[in-house]
Amino acid sequence: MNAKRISRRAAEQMLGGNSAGHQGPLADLLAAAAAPGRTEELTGEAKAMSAFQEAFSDGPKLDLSSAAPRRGAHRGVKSSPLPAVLSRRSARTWTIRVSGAVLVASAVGGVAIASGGVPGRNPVPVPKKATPSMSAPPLTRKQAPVPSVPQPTTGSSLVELCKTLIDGKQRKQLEPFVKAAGGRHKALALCRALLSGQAPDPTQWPEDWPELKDWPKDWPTAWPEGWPQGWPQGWPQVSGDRNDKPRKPRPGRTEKPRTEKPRTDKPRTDRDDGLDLPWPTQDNTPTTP
Amino acid sequence: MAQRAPADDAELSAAVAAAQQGDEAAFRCVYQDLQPRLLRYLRALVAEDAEDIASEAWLHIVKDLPSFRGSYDGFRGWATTIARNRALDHVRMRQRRPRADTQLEELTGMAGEHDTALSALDGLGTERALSLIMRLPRDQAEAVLLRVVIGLDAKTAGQVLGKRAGAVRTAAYRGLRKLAGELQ
Repeated sequence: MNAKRISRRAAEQMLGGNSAGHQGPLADLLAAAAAPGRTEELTGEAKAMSAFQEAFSDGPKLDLSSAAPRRGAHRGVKSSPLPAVLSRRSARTWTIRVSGAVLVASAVGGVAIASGGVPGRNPVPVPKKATPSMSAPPLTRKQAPVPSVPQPTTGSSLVELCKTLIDGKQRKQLEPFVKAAGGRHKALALCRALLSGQAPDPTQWPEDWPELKDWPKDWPTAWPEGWPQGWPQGWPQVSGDRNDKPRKPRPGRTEKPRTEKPRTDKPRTDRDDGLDLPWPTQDNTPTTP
Repeated sequence: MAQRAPADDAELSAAVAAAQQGDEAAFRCVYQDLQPRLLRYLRALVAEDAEDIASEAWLHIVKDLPSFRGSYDGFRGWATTIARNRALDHVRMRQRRPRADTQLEELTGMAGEHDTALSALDGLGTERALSLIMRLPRDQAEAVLLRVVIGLDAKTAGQVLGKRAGAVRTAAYRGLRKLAGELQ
């Protein structure tokens, strides 16, 4: 084959792997370059397989480090990816529940809260529908089961229940709460999050929350209609000063739950390790054959 | 004639989907098809470090496998992009570019000896063919390797290289002309 006479069409055919009708040294060279793999080219197979097994041994690996709330140190535990033990589905519900718990924990914020949310115990009547005027984002039960609503303290509070639970005391009054949480260790995790006033530490979060269908029926499915437009007047001062400007810090507080919630828009860290792939993996459109 | 690995693309598309669900046999199938291709392409970029870079690339591919969406053609392009980025990082770190050190005459002499010297089933033929391709200017060599060895179409190869499909076609065409000229 004469080099000068290779047409673009012929070249395109050879490049596309269609060597039919093309013979000569160039076609042979391309065929040789694209020859099937040889065993010496597969020496890394064992390593790749073990990486695959490791990544998929307990379901697809997930990097949940971005789930760790950015609220400074929480109990000195550095936020780290959850071990690869969650299936994708459970991770999704996990996210939902963390969001819910973050909201609860943020709302608690160091104030004593009521026992209103503990099912079977002083249940607070909660309207089923959310109003469009509420200040908090509308959340359905599916998005965030919120077990409690901040209310003036009456009777035994959830905080007290939690303290009792963490102290390891066996009390009858704990039973509905533990049952509702889906087990003692789950209740403990929620309690620790509530008492610390911080978002729960994902590395210590229990892996098997109850299914949404098991969520108690009398729990709220939406934010209450009476959700406060502003924060209560008697809100304690965290820093102990600025009594002259009581309203200033409020908008910031009300926004806290929101800033915790949307974490899906943060870049995945495993996608951000300097590779800068030109293709977003989600956008891989099938290419023409 | 055997320019493609035995498993066809439909099977391999299914294998990628199964591997995304954790199917080991499917992943092995994908690996065995893609790894030799990646290795040959990477050698043009990082020479003797190709094995290491390919190994790193596979760790990354495994990690991101669940997030991949697309056909097997897309997967090849996606995985090649990962491998290429690893290779370029590596090159930047080394601050030097690999060069084919074999003399042109030696290679063309070997390549032109006889057609059977370049038999598709002959490993040595593959080595010689690759060495010749690697002697091309880098953009031509990459275009030829992505199209012929990795098996990408011009569009996907362009995505890997960050170029238009037309630019890849032109570079590959020039590469082929040059190769054909040298083989005479």
